[in-house]
Amino acid sequence: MALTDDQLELLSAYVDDELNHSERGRIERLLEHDASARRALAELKQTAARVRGLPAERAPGGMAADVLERLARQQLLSIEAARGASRAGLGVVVMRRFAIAAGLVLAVSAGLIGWRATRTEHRTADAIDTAAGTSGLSADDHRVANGARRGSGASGNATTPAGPTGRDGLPPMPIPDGGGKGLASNIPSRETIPVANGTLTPAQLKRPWVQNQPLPISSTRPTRDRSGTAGGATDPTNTVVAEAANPPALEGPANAANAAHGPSSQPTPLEGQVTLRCTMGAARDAVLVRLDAWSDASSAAASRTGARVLRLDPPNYLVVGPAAAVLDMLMELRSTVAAESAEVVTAIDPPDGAIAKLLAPALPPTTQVTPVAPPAPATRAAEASSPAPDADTILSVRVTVPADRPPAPAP
Amino acid sequence: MKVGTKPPVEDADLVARCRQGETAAFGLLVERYQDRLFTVCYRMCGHREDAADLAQEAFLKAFSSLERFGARSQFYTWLYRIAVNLVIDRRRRKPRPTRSLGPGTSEDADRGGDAEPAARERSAEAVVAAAEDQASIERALQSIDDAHRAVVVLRDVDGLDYEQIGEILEIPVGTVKSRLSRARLALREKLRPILGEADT
Repeated sequence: MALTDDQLELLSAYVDDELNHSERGRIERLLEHDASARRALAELKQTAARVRGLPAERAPGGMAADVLERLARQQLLSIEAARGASRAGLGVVVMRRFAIAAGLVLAVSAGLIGWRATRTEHRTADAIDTAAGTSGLSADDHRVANGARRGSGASGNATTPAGPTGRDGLPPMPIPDGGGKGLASNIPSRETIPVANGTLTPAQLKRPWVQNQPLPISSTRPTRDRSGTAGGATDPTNTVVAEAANPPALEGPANAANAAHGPSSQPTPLEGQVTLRCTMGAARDAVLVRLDAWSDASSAAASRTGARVLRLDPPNYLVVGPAAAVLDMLMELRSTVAAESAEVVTAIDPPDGAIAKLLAPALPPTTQVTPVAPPAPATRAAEASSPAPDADTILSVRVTVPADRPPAPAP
Repeated sequence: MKVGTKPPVEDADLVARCRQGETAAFGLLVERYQDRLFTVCYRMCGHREDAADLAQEAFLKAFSSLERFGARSQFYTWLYRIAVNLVIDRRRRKPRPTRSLGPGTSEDADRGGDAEPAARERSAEAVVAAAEDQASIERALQSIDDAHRAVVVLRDVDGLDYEQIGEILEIPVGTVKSRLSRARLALREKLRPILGEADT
């Protein structure tokens, strides 16, 4: 006798032990006196067993790292999209959103390291030390990546990476000794910008962080001297400095702070330039920069200042290095290169040059990232005894020189 | 200090930590489910590279949608729903010819290190026969439609119960039951040459 669809469904569910009491009784009575039901049950069991016998697959190695890296890259792309919107005239508000997206990039990058350390922590009670040993990071580095250590920046003495040319054809850029000079280590850090500590949430990504903490806007720009230090006193509040061809008359605490910068903080409006600057009141010594163009002049500027250039998805570049070196490079670009645009998307707080370590997993495997060595005790002491030359941290800077502006002669 | 294994952290705790911005917690979730999710994607789409890509996409989408994740769902059922929808959508947009996926194919030759030691000790004939059987099962699986294959994969490959499958596919349990029955009957017909006589 042919079995009905209903009976076949019950037989299939019987294989999976998914029948209720009455259904089970019904199907067992059927099986007692129907040979075709017994045969169908045997075939269903056999078929299910064959499919269950397929081997369990293993995900390609490093999927978790790949996922976190792709999250970081997605955020970089969102920065690019926001940049395009900015060019369309959305201005400073959009630039603020750059900072959010940029923050997530670093949050994700930090999360990658943090995940590795956390994963290890979950496995064994003392695995942080083991992970540190295998990854080349100190146990403290892992804890930093997990947001356990708070920023108190220290200047970065330098190591010079030596290695083959990367896949993008760019030579490895050295991070020089003293690259972080002028970025004080004795300025107390403040937990005001969550992105720096990897605490930006997906929800925060969708709204400007400035909503939580209104940022005063000024139309002046503190300049930096050739040693890489920015003029200006420590501003304990987060500050955004915006510049434009016709700067709006804006007022806020930042104006007062910037007024104290003295001669080096004279407004220097440049046509077509928009600069967004956020001071965090905490010393930092490494900056991540995103460039949307690259040229020989860029290479030269990077080489002179010691910034390290890394290429992600063309034409996107990251410039990593001590903040002073990177910002010097931006200054050089601004003065020597026309049609060049650069944006410092974020800064993090690596007390011992940990930015390179943090970024390494999020960068292409062919990329060489050399951590900046911690400063020598003598250097640290000297800095501690001197007035804080630069307590500011550039969280987000964009420097754009209009294409029709003739390049200035190189210094 | 004595080394001990900590109890596993609940998915809900990890999700909460992700929402608070602890990105590292998401890495733990990925690590926890990557093999299962990859296997499901692989059995659904039949291509290793596509499966890896789809599994990653599912994780990325899950991360970006964490705000919408409802506490009433289990994280993995929600994650599976994302993945299954991605697979089905990919197959609709980009149909690919099915390749033989069993051992002995070029794909599996690349992962020879994964083979069970016992398998290496079998005779060459047995290995070849097993490979052919596996390839037949995989081909049969790929030959049925997406809706039915999804139910079979979630049940017989991943071992989920009917309620979980219904939640993932957003269908009633009764529909799970009927689809699974029809899928198994279809597979039975396609596999009849290798199944032989069922022992009643």
